[in-house]
Amino acid sequence: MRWLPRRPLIQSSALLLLGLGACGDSATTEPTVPEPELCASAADCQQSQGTPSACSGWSCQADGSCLEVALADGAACASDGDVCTIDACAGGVCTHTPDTSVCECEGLQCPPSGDYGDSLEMVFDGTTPIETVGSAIIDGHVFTCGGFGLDVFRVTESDSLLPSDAALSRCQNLTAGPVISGRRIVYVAHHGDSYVKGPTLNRLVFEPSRSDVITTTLEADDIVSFEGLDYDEATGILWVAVHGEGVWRYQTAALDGDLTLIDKLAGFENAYRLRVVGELVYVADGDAGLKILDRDSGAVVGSFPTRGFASDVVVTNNMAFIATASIGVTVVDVSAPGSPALVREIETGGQALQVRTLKAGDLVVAANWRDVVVIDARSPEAVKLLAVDKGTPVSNVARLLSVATDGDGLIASSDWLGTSLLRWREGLVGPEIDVSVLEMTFSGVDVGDEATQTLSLTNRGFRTLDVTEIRVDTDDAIWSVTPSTASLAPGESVPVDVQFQPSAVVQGGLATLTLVSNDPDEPVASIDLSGNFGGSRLGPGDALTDSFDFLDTESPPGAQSLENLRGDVIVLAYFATF
Amino acid sequence: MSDLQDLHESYRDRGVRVYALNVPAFGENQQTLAGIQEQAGLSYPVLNHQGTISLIDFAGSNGFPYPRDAIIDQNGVLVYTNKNYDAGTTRAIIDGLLAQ
Repeated sequence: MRWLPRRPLIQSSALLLLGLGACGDSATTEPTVPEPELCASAADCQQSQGTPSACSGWSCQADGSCLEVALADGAACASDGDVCTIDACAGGVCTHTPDTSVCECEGLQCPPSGDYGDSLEMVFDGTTPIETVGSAIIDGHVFTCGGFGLDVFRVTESDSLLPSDAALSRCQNLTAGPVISGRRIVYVAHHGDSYVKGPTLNRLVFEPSRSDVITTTLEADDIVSFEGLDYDEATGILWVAVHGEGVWRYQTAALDGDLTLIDKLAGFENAYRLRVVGELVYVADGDAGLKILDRDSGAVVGSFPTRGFASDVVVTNNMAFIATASIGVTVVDVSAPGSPALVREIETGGQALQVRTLKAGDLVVAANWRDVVVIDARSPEAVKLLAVDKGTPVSNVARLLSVATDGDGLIASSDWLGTSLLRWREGLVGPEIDVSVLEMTFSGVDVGDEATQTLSLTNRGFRTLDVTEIRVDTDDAIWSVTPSTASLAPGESVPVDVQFQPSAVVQGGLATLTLVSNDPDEPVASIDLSGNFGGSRLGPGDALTDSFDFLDTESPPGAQSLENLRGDVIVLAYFATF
Repeated sequence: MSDLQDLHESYRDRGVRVYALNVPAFGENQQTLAGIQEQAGLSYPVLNHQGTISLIDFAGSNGFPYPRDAIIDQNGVLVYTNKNYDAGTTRAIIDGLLAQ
């Protein structure tokens, strides 16, 4: 077979003509020696002529000659080794432009598509409205409800919290009501309990300029438990989720915000929290999932069964984001309220308890037991995790139970120990540590045996994550972990093995796995370890063992141990001072 | 009278022990707890959970720190848990266990 020399010119319809000298091409119109051979395909040209210059390819012409032609603009070309650039031909030249659709690339390396960065910054590191279980940001103030009652804090220009006086002993949830004569009405619910009872609906008259609160109890009921509530400004109706009862509607008085019961809607499994959005009301209905009601008639017009306990819901961009305790956040398309459709379940690795919107509804924030989770909520196609970051300064003690937002970029995250402020900052980048579990439980391991569990350690940030220490904090030699350090590129994951080997001396116990890294806002991550301790989580039918020592806490020691109580029926009730 | 106090008074002489398990809040002390007990008229024991096992460790708690109740039978077997206190069900189960 004879080959013809390279000849420029002649372009096909699919290919652009490559000019002389373009992309460093050494094309020539003169025949070369020896006499060239004919080609049958572009592959023949590749074999005889070698690799063409960047952004060009071979075309075998009808006369058997090889023609080097330019690739179309946008065609992929050789990578420059930087994953943050788009390697594409333009005008016959291979260009490497920053890929700003993925992340800020200048000087940085992007994680793989679908991962997230670190755009949350803790700007205020905890204050003391302890055991907060419900919160809201209203008129520049953070309201928290929980263990020691209602607290109100003014958010300063420098993002700190200044306490104000508040006078309400206990509460769980609250919502902003109308503004009457320049003063804000805030409605507050307390669900009562099994030992003191006293469920109440309260009205706060709040004067933002003075951070002043006057409280009035509007409704008290010894039977029901008031929980979530939302005020509909369009109708002046306060919607209240009532444990085990359903959803109650109250008309608010225009003059003072007083409440008059309208009706009690039944047919709910365990209405927990709700949101009024336009002419619909979305109810997180416990194990039944999501229910959608017509605002005027109260009739159920649609429902969606979540795979876990639905405790809260927000709606934005025609999607419902449902805090689903055992899953994370369930995202449902509600553009057709009569037939909601699953967009996706976002597993958050924690216990999603509450959800709020951020950035005018383009983001959704969830309180996730230990973390704050931020989700892209712009469209069903865009839904994905953007950030998972701690929302509490002491991650291995506190439990994050509540988030509140100002609708823009401010997040108040509240846990058992206090309330912190975080801000969402676009383009904030850095290494981001992410561990796949919050706790590891080893049970039933015999003395002398060794059990190993593996967690996944991931860098979800934009710079290299250096984990300088991976250790188990304990005095007992029954725990070990490998590796002891790690360095992870953006998007990279490595396994971390935790070994539990009970000995005759120490057969079990609790410990903490600690990871020290250069993550700027979570320099110390921790995971609770439990070995042969209490038999893990107990369910009906399980026999309690003496290691289940909740009855040993009173004097004299052991007087109320389980063994001493054999033959009696024991009733245990959770108790808290709120 | 609260449900739990009522339960305690109804069954304390029939082989039923009622205990409240308190998870102390940060900053809360025994004096705080005693004050609440006195104010509420609670005569059943309120035990301070000391960081070992709490009712949250029962299966299905979902981590909710809300009233969560359990019944243990005469043989030390957990027979019932519930997210919210349900006086009727609690009494029915106790009556059933006492009748065995």
